[in-house]
Amino acid sequence: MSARLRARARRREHDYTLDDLRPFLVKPEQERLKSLEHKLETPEALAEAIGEVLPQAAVASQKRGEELSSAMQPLMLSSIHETVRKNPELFADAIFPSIGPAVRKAARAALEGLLQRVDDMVQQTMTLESLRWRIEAARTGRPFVEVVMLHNLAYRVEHVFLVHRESGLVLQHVAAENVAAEDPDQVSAMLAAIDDFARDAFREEKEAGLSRFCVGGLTGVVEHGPRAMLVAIVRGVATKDVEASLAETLEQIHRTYAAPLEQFKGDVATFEPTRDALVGCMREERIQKPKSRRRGTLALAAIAVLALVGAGIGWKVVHDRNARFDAYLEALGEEPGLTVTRTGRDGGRRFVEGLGDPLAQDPAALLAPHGLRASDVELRFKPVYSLDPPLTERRAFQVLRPPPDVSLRLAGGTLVAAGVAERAWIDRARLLATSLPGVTALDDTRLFEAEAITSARAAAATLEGLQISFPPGSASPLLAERARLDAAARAVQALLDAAPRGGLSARIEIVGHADATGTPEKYQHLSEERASSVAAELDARGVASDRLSVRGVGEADLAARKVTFHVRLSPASEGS
Amino acid sequence: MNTLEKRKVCLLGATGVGKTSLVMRFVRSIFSDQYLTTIGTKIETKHLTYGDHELVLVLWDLSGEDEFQRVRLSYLRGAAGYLLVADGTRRATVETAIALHHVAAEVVGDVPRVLVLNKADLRAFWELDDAYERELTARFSVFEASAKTGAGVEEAFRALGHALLQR
Repeated sequence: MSARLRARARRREHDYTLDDLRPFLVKPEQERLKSLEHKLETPEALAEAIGEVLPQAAVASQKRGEELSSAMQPLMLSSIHETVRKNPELFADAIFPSIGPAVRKAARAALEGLLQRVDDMVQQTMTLESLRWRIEAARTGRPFVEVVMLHNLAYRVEHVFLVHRESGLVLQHVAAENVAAEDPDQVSAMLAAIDDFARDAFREEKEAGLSRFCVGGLTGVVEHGPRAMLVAIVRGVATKDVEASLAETLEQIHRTYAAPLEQFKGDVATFEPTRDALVGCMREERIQKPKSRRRGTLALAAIAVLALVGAGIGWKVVHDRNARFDAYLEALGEEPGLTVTRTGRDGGRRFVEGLGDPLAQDPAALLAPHGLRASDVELRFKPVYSLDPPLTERRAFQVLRPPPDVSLRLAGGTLVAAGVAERAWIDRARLLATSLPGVTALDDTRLFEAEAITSARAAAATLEGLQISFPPGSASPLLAERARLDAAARAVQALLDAAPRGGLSARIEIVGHADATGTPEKYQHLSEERASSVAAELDARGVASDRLSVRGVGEADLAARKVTFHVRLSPASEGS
Repeated sequence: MNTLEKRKVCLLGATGVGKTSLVMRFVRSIFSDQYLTTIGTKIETKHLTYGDHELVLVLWDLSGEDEFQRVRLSYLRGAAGYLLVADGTRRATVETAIALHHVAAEVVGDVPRVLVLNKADLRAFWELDDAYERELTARFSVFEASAKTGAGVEEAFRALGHALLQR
């Protein structure tokens, strides 16, 4: 029996079906199928299974193309849409800190270009226009800076407030320079109140708020965040840049201060570091003005006016300098000892030619009093002797060097010397005076010798020391008195010689005395006779008797049989 | 070291209790009273010093409550405390103050508050009997004040400020 037959015989013997055998043959496979079936039919298991492979599936799908994302897109969109509809605040809060940066990145490039243009414009407009603005400032009484700003600035942020949204309290405030700041707490609270008021009054939904308000030239720009708001007060027309910077700053503050903002009770110190961020919002933008024809005309007019003013000033400067020079020349002409022969310009520099006495005023010294500098005028003076009387006088002083008691003056060519000097000086002066240029004669009639005065005084003293004795009752001197009479004659002669040379006049009295013998008439007569007798003796000795006077004093001097001398010296002008 | 704290505080009371004139000489305001009748509030600030602590009370002076106008509740939002003002010579104004207290408590919760009874200079004409006054004292920090003489106002502010700093 073959093997196949043997097998068939065995099967029949036990009568097993295929199903009986299947567990033995495919049990593991069956279990895996069951497990798969369970996974596919039970949602929880299916979710778990898909969850395990979903990330890889998504990655694999992405590698193949856009199929998966295209498929998912409607689902995602409707899901987001539903979320936003149901809970807009949650969504807004979630994306608030991140949406701004993306938007602004694109705007920044454009802004940088604009800033560059603004810089250029500022350089150009600060020339002629500034003059116009100064006039405008003076006319309107506004500060110049404000006028410049009005013309130059499209806008400027003057205040930035960081305000706690719920309480309206100011967390931080910065203000531009030179801008008066009212109580920021009050301003901010009032803004919050107005914000509330506007919302209540117009029943606007909660998320909306006051975003922009205008008062005169000021605009308030308000940026609202979930916990805080930023308010910028802007002078001029605020651009979107302001809003963008506020939004960016507010987002950043919300990111950095999330917890302090949420738990804020009133401790504002926590927010001190936000100052820098707020300062970053203090922007300004300048106006770029088109160049107009009118402006060109204005510029030309301004240049013309400036040229005229310049010419006027130039003319005035030249005119003034000419006037000063003329005055200087006139002064030179009036100055003794200086003669101007020629004036003119030499290589653009003025010159003055002339003759000058070395004793005259220095022409250079007269420049400064006339407002001229030494460098303005070249002086060419040749030295000469001047016959101008003041110069002649000056020269006489220089040459003669008179002693302090002597005066010198010139009167029509005659040098008049007066006073008292030593004989030697007088002799020298007499010799030199007429040799001086401009001096034709010396008048020395009032020039006296110091030595003569001394001699006259000595002679007078000698004379007064002499007395001539007489015998009793006689008018003839004793013979022994002859020597004294000789001495008296010499003294009188010396006195009369010296006195005029010393500018003095001398009066000599011969006084006769008698003793008390006989009657008073007799004494008197005898005394007079005695004086006359001495006068005759002197006359006999060659003394001019007209210069003597005779007097008898009777018995005034008792027991005096004598004659004495009395001399009076006085300045010649007082004399006879 | 000095610390600076700020608090929002509301002034509440019936019309004509002298709320504005009561605080006028104790606070600083850059706004005119017209705001009270136009937008319903006026902002003032009150600076208080407690040792090293400086406290700025930003006062929201809310226009008076009466049959013609109601206090705008949104103005209460964010208030750290409030000051109720009533006129001692008119009992109805005290009741209005208590009613406003309830309204405010609903918006801002259980926060520090004081009750100021104005017209202390007319004490003889007060419409409050002893029992009622005792009841008030049990519920509030009560201060008797006079807008005419200024008495009691500073004390009320200081007490409220102190309570605010404790929280």
